[in-house]
Amino acid sequence: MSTPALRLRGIRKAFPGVVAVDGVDLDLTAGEIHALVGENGAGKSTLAAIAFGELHPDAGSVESNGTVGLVHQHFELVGRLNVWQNVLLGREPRRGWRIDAAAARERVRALSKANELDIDPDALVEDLPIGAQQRVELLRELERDPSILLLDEPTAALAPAEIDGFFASVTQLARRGTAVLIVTHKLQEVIAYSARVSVMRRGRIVAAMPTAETSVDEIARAMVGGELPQIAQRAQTTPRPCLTVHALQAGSAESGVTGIDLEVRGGEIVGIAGVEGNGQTALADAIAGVLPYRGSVRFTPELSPKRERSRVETSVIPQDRHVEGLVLNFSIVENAVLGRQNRPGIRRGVLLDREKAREDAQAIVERFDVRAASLDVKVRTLSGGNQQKLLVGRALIDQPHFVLAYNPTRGIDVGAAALVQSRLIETRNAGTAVLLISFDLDEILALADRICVIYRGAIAGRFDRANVERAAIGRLMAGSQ
Amino acid sequence: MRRRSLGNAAAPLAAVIIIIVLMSIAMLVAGTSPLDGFSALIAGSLGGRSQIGETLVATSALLFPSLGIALAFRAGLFNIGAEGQLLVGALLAGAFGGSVTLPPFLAIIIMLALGAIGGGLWGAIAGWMKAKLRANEIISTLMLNFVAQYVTLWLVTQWLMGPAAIGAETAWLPNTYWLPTLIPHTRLSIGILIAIAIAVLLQFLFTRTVLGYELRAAGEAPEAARRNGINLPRLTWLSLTLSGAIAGIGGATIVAGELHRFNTQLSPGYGYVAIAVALVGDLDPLKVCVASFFFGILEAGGLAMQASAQVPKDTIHVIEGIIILVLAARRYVAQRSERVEAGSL
Amino acid sequence: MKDRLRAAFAAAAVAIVLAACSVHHRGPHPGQLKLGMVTDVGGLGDHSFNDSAYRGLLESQSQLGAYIQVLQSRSAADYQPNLTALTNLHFDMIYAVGVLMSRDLSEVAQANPTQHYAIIDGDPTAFAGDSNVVVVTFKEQDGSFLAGALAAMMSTTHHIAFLGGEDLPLIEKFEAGYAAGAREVDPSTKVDVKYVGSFDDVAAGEELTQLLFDGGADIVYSAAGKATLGSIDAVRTRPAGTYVIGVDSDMDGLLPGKVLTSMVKKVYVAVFDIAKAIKDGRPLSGHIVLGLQQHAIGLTDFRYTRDQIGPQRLARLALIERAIEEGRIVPPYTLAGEAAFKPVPLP
Repeated sequence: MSTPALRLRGIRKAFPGVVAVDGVDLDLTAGEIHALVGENGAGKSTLAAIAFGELHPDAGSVESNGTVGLVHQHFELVGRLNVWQNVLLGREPRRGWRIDAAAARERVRALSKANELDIDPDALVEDLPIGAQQRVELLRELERDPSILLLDEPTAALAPAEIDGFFASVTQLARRGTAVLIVTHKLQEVIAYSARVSVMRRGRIVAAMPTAETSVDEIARAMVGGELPQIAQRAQTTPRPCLTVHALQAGSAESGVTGIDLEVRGGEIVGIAGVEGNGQTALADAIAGVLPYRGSVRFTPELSPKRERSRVETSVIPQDRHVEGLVLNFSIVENAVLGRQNRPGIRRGVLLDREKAREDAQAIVERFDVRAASLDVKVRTLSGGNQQKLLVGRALIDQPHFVLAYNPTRGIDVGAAALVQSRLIETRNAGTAVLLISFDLDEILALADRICVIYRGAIAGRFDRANVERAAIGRLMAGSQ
Repeated sequence: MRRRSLGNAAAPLAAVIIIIVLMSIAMLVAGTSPLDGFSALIAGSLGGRSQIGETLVATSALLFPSLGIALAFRAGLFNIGAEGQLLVGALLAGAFGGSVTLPPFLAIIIMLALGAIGGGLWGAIAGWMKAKLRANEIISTLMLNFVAQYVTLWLVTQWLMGPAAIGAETAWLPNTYWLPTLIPHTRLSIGILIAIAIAVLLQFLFTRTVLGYELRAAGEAPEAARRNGINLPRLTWLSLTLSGAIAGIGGATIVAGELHRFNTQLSPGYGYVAIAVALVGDLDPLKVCVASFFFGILEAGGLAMQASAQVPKDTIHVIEGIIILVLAARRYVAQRSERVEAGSL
Repeated sequence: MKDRLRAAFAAAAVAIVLAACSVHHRGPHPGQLKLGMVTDVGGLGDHSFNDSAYRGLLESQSQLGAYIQVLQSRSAADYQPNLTALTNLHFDMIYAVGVLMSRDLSEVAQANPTQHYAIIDGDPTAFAGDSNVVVVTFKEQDGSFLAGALAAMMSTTHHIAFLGGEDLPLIEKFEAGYAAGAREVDPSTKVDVKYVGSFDDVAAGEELTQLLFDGGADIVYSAAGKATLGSIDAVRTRPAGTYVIGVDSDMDGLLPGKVLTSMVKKVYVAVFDIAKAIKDGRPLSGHIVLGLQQHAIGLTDFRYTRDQIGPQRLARLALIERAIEEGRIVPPYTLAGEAAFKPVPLP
């Protein structure tokens, strides 16, 4: 084996109240894709930040022979600038005292071509889809020509098709001699693209092996430190009508829906499969009552629109838990009430029943395994997985007639995802109608009784659990027949 | 990877320390020893019954608009129109009290109610503009301050001028309509007790009621609030109305408690200083009470500081301005970076 | 970063403490005569009676060795806190400048019976029972009468005007004296009258003065406190032969040649006399009325307009002045008195 491009020895880093990284050794080899996996909070991102030099370890050494680039999990782009301005920010080519825009544009175009990252240098970043923004982020690092590239959850926001393209670029980079570290918890990607895998749990590396010699199951077991959580069994139900959507039109021409018919019955999960940006958000928002629409959205038993909706026990697990779902500066108790504040039992006259709110929060924390120091900590301090479990718990605690779940397990770890999926199935088993919109086809295949494929704002195909065919769904998602 | 160094609790304390440091510098520039300056300030604000009375009069005048502002800010609305709301509330109270004969107790209650109605109306205009026309409430509330200033001047000089009035003011209230004095031989009326009662009520509103919960949620995370059955337009006008009403009651207590008539120049800018008070008080009703007392000390003691230590009182207002700037900017930046920060865990 | 901030704070604190040690005490010395003054909302810099009163304080400082302090009022709500603050610091005499403070001073004076106060332009009836308050008023009608006489002599259009601050009994004295003075010289002279509605709205003062000029008057007597500064702005662009007459302080120098004269109220004389009486241990009390006879009221020395007025008119003005001093002419101080006023034939 050649000398490592990056060598970490005995790295330790503590934050108040928690040891994030606890004595880690790690070597990255030039030309190799190395996957670093682990559940949320295992210390992966902290380790990446230390390797990049963004954080100083309390103990241990970092040696690298070359420049290190880091692509963040959350993009650090300036939305109001265009692509080349972002990529070359602070290093723009100059002609005299002016920025040489033509040269800059050309440099970015050449760079994106060489790396097979298709992107228009003049597009405004805030107008780009998330997948394209990710490519801009990657381009920015590549422009510095790093010999070591750290990617922190690079595909968390990407659609399946985008993920393939992204890894094609990364693989090519590695082939040309770059050492790549991918921090992720998507095990399929690990198996498909990495050469070596290191598994972190509770700040330590608990397993390290060549990818060829392991399997998804083995990695997953190492991550959770035991057997994998099982998803709940689906029970026999007798579906009865709950939600009927007819000729629904909503949202803009590019990202809206154009005439969708849909039925979701009590006791079943209907999955909406599709690549991000094909109208899922407009569909979800129209049904949630926060986006104007044409056509009809009817609940059975009949509900009057808007105000009544919260009372008739429909609930939503929104896509963006930080902005749409939770109030980050509120406590767990306060968040457990959000959206339910007017329900009988919680509202008493003008007062909020704080005892009941606390009981409900306690119930959610127990049933959905939300791990927190107390019920009064701000939700901001919880990990993403715990935030999501709280959000899902809140949506399901009242056993509503209808639940809309939009990417309910996105960005959370295996254990938390399994728990969320189990609770959704249990809710279905108890007779609730569940509409599951997910960009993760595996999730839909695992949970849904019926599957609709959404493409460019319309339903491109419908499948029953009995006659489901993965390849056919994949083709419909990509827009071919 | 979070960069915020000052927690929320530390900010008010830091503000107080900055005020003291800046005042020390101002005193040195004025050629006075800070020791002399601060001892004059403390003696002039807390050194005797009369001094404490004046301090509490200023505290009371600041507390009402500060609580109103805190309410609106908590709901995410930058109401900087407390000055105008206070003025309109004071005008209704003064015009009524100076012209109507009723049993005193009833008259006082009606004056306070009119204060709430006047201020509430003024806040509601901005609320309506925001909810229906999407007018930025910072601009509209500020503009309404000027409208209030000129409308009250016009009303007073056209119709409401008192018979023996000198200056633009309404008739004096009969002595029986004056709010009872709280500390004998001072100007301090029981108005300050009303202010404290409102602070307690606000605390109750925020922590115990559904409305208060919805207000806070709307202020902290409007999108999450909207998606969870909270009617944002309704909360917008409701919170600006309530906010204005509290400031308006403050105007009425100035009329009924200290000035005993409405004068178009009745406020030396309480509604603006109150922005600093509310921010220093961290928008928490009970902490705002403490912050008002602190600013009351500055207001009342500042006069003594000027008179016996030759430090211009206006330095205090300069420093108050700096505090508004720093804390408001900090809050604004914090709100904007919320989106960026969201999910950085 | 945090450490650097902390270090900066510490350095600042040390610097402040060191600097503090090198600064002298600037408060009053024990035994020093302490004079305090509360302005009305016009404030210092009004070139009017606040400034004139302040001049009296400065003279007391230089001639009597007094410690002086002025608290300015930004609003009506400031009057009582300002008066109370000076009271609590046991000033020997506290001047309240302006009629607007009458009732506030009365309340404070009753609560502090051992403290001496003086009010300039106060309403004497408001202080009937307060033996610790000296009320100083002026016979503004005397000087206004002279101003009216001069204006009538100078007007080429036989059309002059009066601009008041607020429509108060105090300002009525100016208006009545002015109109009567004009009638004394030329009964056919037309006198327009307008009121600003405030003593500190300079912009309104300018606008109304323009209106008066546009209406045909060529001389405007502006008895409007600080708003008079707006009148002076208004005459700036008017043709020669158009004038403003200033009020309270000597405003002639603000726009030489265009300010015909100023009706000067020597508030400083009263302020100084009251301070001296306190220093001499025999404080004044009651109601003091100052007029032409006491040389506390009068016109300026016409230093910029003497040539434009000419010796003949000056001589006639001097005759009128003497007649007032000797009591042969008694200028009216109400509009009713003005209506009844009959010109007195002078040789």
